[in-house]
Amino acid sequence: MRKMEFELDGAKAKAIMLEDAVPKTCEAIWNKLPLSGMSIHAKWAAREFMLHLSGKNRIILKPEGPSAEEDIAGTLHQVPFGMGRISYFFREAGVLRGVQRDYSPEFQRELCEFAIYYGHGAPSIQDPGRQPDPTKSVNIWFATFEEPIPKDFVAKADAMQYEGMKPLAIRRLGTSR
Amino acid sequence: MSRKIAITLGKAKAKAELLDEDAPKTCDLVWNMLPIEGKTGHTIESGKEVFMNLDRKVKLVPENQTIHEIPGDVVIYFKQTIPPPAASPRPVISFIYERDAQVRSLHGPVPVNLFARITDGLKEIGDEAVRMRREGYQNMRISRA
Repeated sequence: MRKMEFELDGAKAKAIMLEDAVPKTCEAIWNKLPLSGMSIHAKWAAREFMLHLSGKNRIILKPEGPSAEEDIAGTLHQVPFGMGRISYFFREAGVLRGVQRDYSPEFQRELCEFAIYYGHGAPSIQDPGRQPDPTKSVNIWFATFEEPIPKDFVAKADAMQYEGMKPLAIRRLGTSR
Repeated sequence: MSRKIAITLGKAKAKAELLDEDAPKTCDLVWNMLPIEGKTGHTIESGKEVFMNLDRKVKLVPENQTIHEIPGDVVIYFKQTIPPPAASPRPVISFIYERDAQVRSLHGPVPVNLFARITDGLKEIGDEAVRMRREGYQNMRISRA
């Protein structure tokens, strides 16, 4: 079992990779670690923040695991919805939403990111109408935070809606069987 | 002649016209609060919306409500906290600065009282909203103009 550590502005949380469900994705991301950058809070999905992957951090993956439709159908019954998920997300330019001026220029149309759901919410996953065309996007749930997610980590994430972007580092924590 | 308000966010200023005919009680309620200044943030569930927390009790009656906001709308409503569900919704005043916005809770759209429209400075205040989403928010101030 591979574990990762997420450090958001000094606050840490641990996550377990879902190697049985999406082995190729986990392998590709594991080989990219450590990763770091400035994270930005979501503005549609409630308690989610993102690390945009650009330059040497950019990762292009093929779909793996449940399709978006299966994922939506399967997870609608989860309570709390979406909490603790960490997903890889890619969408082509022009899909679903246009220019996002609050993102870096390279992400104002194409988007490549980790989507980190640290609390209740994720209405954008819950609402199929807000999902991008699955032929022009890739959405893979590849890790889950260990419960409970530390309060200081959640507080740092929540604060981004008032305080703006915060530094995030993701590193390998270890492998065990 | 309509009453006007000034909205200041960081270095940007905008003017809005109160919708006295469509939302008279809400306009009076807000007008009598002014000037107000409060903790300001960017929505995490509703898209291109900036809100200011109102640190006071507010008695709001449904008036000129909408669930289909457009850029330039200035609204007042009770914002639900995500989570805990036990926390009471808190009163906020917010404005929509670009397309791709709908005031929502986890359960869908939230009706809001639309009481003013920004007539000047929407681009400037929208630019400031975008900058502050990356760099952090300062208080927003609303006063009579």
